[in-house]
Amino acid sequence: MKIFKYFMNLAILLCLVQSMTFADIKNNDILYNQLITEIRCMVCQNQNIAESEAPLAIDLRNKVREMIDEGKDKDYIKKYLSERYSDFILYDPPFSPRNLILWIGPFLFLIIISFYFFRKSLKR
Amino acid sequence: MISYIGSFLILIALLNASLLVLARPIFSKISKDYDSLILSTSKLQFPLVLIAFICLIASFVNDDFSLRYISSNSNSALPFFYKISATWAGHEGSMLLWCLILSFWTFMASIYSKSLNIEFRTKFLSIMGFLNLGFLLFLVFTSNPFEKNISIPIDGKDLNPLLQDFGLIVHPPMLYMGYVGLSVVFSFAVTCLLQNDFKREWARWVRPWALISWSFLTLGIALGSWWAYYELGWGGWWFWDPVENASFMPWLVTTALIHSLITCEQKAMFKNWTILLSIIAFSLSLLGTFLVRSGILISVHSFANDPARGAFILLFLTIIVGGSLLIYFKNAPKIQDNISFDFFSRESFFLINNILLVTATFTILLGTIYPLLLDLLGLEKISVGVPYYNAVFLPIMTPLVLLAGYIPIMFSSKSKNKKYMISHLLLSFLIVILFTLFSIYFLDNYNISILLGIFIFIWISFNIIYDLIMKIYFSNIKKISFSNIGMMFAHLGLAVFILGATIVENNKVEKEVVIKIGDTIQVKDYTFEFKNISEYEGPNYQGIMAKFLVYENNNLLTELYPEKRIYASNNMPMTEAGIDPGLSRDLYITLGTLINDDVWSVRIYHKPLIRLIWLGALMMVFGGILSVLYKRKNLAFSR
Repeated sequence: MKIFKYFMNLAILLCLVQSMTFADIKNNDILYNQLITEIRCMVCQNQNIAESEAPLAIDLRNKVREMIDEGKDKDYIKKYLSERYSDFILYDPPFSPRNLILWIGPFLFLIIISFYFFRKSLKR
Repeated sequence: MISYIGSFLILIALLNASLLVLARPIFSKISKDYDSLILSTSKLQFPLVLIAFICLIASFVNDDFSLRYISSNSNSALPFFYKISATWAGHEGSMLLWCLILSFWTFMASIYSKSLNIEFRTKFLSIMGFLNLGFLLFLVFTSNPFEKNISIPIDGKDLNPLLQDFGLIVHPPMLYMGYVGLSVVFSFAVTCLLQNDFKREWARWVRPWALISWSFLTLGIALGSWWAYYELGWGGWWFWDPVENASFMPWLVTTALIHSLITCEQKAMFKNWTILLSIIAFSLSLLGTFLVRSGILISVHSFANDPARGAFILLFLTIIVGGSLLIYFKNAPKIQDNISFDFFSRESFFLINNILLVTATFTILLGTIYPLLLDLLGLEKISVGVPYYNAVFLPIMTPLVLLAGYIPIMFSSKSKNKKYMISHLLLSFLIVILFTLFSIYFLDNYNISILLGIFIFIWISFNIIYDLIMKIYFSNIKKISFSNIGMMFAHLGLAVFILGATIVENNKVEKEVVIKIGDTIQVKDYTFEFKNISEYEGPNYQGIMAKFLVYENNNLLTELYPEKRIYASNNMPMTEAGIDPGLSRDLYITLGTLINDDVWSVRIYHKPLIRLIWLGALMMVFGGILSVLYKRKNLAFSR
């Protein structure tokens, strides 16, 4: 068991080190490609701006590219867009009172039905 | 002429379905022989709708533009195979396809239900008949594909260019086979409620139907994902579009159902819950139809918008869902269902499986309808997409797939020694961790989510293969049943899917570049040379085709031809990606816009292991079918 624990700790340590060193790399291409799939093309039917070839989508892609090249981060770009086009443009709904049920609903649901079923059916 | 036959047959089918529904409540009072009326009408429905469907296909092939549906969805220049698949490309035809498949499942249910007692069987088929009647009424009154044009146009408007593709030939029929197959399970569950009982042998009867529907749903969803990947031109394979969600929700609930049916059959537990799942599964597939067909969602899939249709489906949905839930709450308490088990038991883990799957379904339902609700309440619109589901859906699914790697193995072995199980669990966990760390050697980029994905892949496949080897070498080989092998395949498929999805989402390389003819660009180990661009004439479009040479370490690997097509019908440019598929990676090029002479914007994608996503799904389908075959062979039980 001691050996097992040693390996576990080693594995966790390795994972942590790796996630810290690699997740923070600021790769403009990756950020750009991720962002354009999370922004809605406002004039299309449920398409992101990566998918759409509408003039607005092309403009927005260029704008996102420009902001990334200026060194702006993800939050700044998202805020910039939602201020101009409302939250509708982001596929990532902000965590606000209006969206509270959306964000915590699933976890509440999980707790309630787990409690209901297990209380009912476990042998005492 | 042919269209008149089709139109007439639809009316006959409507009459036939009415007979099937009314046979029990009305004719049972007049004659004792209403059973045979139910049995024959439930079988007759299929040939009637089939011939009507063939009439519609024939009208498409003959370019019969006197029909409104054909003149707005076809064109004389449309290639032959697309004329056939255009039959179900629009709203009216896809509803006829829905009716056809519903009548097919009614036919199958009628043939394969001999083992059920006659009262149960006739009630069950009457409910199937009611569903047939509802959809036929919907077809005739709001969406008749045989409706005539006031004046006959010279030529048709042509099929939506997005749909002129092989994907349209296979994706909707397979998906509908799954959606509608759930009607059998639903009707069965409602019959159980009406009978106030759910016997173990009934669970045994209904499981193959759930499995086959699940297999078709899996195949249909996978085909849709594959189609979107190569057709939409940005290399995505899943978008969390409301229409995709509409197919994914019934899939998740049916997955829960095929697990809970096992407990029902073996331990006679969770009867009510299983009945409820059956009702929810079909209700969600109706809800999907409502969302897609009413035009309430503005999405690439809703090409038909008509409020009358929405109102009809909403009414039908209310009757079906409301009615069945009403019967459920009234009759379910009468069904004897003693649920009682230890926490550390197979039943307990099946319950956890079900809870997680249902929660996942709830998450998607919430994500799909929450924006609609806000819109309805007049609040500011929001969009729910990939970031939301990554944050909420994935944490719910992770424990589920971790359990899928161990629980089936733990409880398939006969030894119930807890100490042995725990030491075995720890040992295999250790081995899998080592394998996972070893795999880092093969990766050029990794983070915590990649490691978790690889861990889950190895965890599931290692345990299944280990278990298989143990069974073959250390116990009697005859013990491994078809259905067990089916389960192994399906779970392995899940593991393969997770590996593909994790790696492609984390390690894909996507480059958007401006490139001149003659120039080259390097992506990973591949060099892409933009050779030339040429124009050509398609059957019903103007094509612009680029030629790219792809080199790997200075050796010519392949040539790719991404295209842009401008269809005569709508003048919108469509992209056709140039793809070099491979098990280890896809190379994917799409042609963007012309910047100036000889200079184009182009997107080049390197997608590692993306094929595993669909390979995994195919393995699940194969596993499902294996289990069905086994079940069918063993279906001899007393009446």
